[in-house]
Amino acid sequence: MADRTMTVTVSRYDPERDSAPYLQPYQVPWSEKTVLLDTLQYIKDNLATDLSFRSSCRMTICGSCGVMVNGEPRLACKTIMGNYQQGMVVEPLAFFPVERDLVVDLSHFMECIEAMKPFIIGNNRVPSDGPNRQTPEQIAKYHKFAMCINCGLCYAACPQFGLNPAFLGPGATALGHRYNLDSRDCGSTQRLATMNTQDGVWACTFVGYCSEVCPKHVDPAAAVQQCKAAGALDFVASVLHCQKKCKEGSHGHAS
Amino acid sequence: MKRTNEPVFWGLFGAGGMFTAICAPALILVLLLLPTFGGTAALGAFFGTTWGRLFLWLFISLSAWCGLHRIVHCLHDLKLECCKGAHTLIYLIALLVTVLALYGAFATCG
Repeated sequence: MADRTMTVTVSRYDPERDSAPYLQPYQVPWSEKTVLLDTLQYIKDNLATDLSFRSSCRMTICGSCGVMVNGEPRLACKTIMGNYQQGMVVEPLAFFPVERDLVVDLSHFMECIEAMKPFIIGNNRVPSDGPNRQTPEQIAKYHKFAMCINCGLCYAACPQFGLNPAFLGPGATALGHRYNLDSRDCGSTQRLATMNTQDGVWACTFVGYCSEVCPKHVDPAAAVQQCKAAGALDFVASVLHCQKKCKEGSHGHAS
Repeated sequence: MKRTNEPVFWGLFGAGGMFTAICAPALILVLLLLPTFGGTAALGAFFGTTWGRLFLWLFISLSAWCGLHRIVHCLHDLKLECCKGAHTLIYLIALLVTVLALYGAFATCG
């Protein structure tokens, strides 16, 4: 790091010692190439060895280092310090329970991902059938939604998740939608059952901030709206008792 | 898992928003311009037809469903959900507007 310094204020919280989180300023060096994750590591190495934060890949792949930077959900490894020369306040991801310092409890998010059954369902192909090929068009349908790295930034940006912690949320919905759009999958009925509950996709009011903060441009807001349209059709089908049945053998082959 | 009936209201909300967004600017423009060019009689004649009456009914009722559904969600956003009855009351108002608009559009003859 270079000799220029700036003030970074970090939210600190030790549940065994503190009754509530508090802000602690640190004077840190920075250069044009310094990212927030470097700075947090500098603070841990030199100024506050007990600082807790999550990180792993350092290259926007693992989704571990999500924090609030001046109130905006961001990945620490993708936040360039030079853009915050006037100062920076780093806090844990909003709306999640704080475990310690910048570490939040992501249990609800993980449970939502599990509820979405993010795997191919109902495809009874066997290895002897050969590769389960798809056309570029079939892949393009879901590819954008497959880019999610489960960082949780969209949840920290979602005012509805802030109001209702039971909300299925944008990230898990995008993941479920990714499998619903996959030509090899036949599990949309199971996922739509979860999406069509009061705390499912219908809690969303299309604020759209989740898509703005997504570091992988997944556009979870679009996924939620498309799930609403699919859910509305599913609702009509349930009223008319004509729910679409996935035909055995109708999937899994590139056409 | 209990299925929510929100798709019904979301559908009316979406239909109302779309219908209003497309038709309201055109309607406002027509209502402003036609009297200037002496087309009031033509406008009156159109709203006297079945299509004209249907348009008026859909325009008024769907706008009401759109706006009132938005208010239901605003109550949630502003943490003003005092009771479930508030939602029912708001949707009953939308239903009332729908029925009155239907009566106004079709039962009265010019």
